[in-house]
Amino acid sequence: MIRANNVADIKECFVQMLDALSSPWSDWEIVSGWPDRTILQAAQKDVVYVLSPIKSGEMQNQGGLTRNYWDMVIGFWVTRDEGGPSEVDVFQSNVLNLFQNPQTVQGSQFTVEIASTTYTDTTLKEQGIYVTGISGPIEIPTEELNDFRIEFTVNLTA
Amino acid sequence: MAVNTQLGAPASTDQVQGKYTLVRFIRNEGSVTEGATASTDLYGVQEWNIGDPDIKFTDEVFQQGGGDDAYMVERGHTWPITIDFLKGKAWTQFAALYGISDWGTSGTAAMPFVKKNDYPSFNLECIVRDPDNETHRGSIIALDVVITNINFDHPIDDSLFQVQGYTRFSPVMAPAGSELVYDQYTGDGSTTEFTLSSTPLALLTASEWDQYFYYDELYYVKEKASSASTGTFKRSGYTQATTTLTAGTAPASGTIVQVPYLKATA
Repeated sequence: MIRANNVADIKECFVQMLDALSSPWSDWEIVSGWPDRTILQAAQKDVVYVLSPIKSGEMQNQGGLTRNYWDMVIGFWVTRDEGGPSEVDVFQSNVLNLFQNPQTVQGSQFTVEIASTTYTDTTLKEQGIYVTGISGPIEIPTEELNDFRIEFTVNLTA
Repeated sequence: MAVNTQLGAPASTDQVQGKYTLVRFIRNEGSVTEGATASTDLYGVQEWNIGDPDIKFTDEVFQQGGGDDAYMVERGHTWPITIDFLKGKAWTQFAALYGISDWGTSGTAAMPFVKKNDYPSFNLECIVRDPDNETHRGSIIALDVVITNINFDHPIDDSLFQVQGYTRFSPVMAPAGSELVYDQYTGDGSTTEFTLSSTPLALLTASEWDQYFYYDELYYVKEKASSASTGTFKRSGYTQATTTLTAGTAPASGTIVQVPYLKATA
């Protein structure tokens, strides 16, 4: 079970969940955090990156502790040689199909290590993470003309 | 608990959202089928509400010598119910709620906004789930909903269509893992024993709820004679044990026996 307010645990769950999905997700390299130039150049596939969640709100019962709402960026970075805009379109539709299907996104199984404990065939639901919405994408400018980058923001509670 | 107790944080599933709710209904007093009548999912629901009850009779009862001590008597509750639909779904979903099977094909080509009788049309079951859209958190059940009116509002942008109605039978909260069953039987003048399609869950044992017509482990038993427009609650004359419902007197030929209750989900 993820630790309270541990953004690394939340991020790692999403990385492992996406990494365990079948094609076309398996055609992409899932990266935790910002993919710097070294990672992009070393990657054998197009890169999907998952950034650390940012607190966007909270819920609380009177006299109690706080549970947070989070926004988390999931981005896609591809060059023209590796598919370019058409691959971006494929990514867009698959992100929306995944994150707008609650039973699929909450029930997808993956294996993750949290605080030295390995959870095999776990789910976001079992880890106490619930996706409640998604917005985007926004297009992110790149230095290279032949690079294409977009980002979605996933809304979740954890 | 001490005065300085600090509670934990709410669980992610403590905050439930309407978008994870499945709304479905069972027509009553519609076409008669023996045994269980299946639920029908409602599509296009945007919002549903059960409002504060209107109470026909309210009085504080005092007695001489009792000073200001009194007790409150309330009788004749009706709970207003509204369901808002995406407008494009209204024609098909309203027809389903009204029980118009030939809507748009033959027979009924007009659906009045107002329903002039007071007959229960359907039983509403709102199944509230966790954000995984799957795990049952609990349900709200409104039995014997009477449709009163359709409310039409048509702005230039997105718009909704509203069914308005009420029930005189207290809406109930049902626990996770339970679902509504609505069994119907047709009397033949001699049969006294009817087999329920499922094993009912125990409802309430507290006697103060008797006014809501709970009948053993059933919400109610109603008989609707073939010549009647609506059924009447039975307060006695039946016994129920697990899946057997026994009538002391065999319902007359053509009389419909209606039996809603809760069963455990599979």
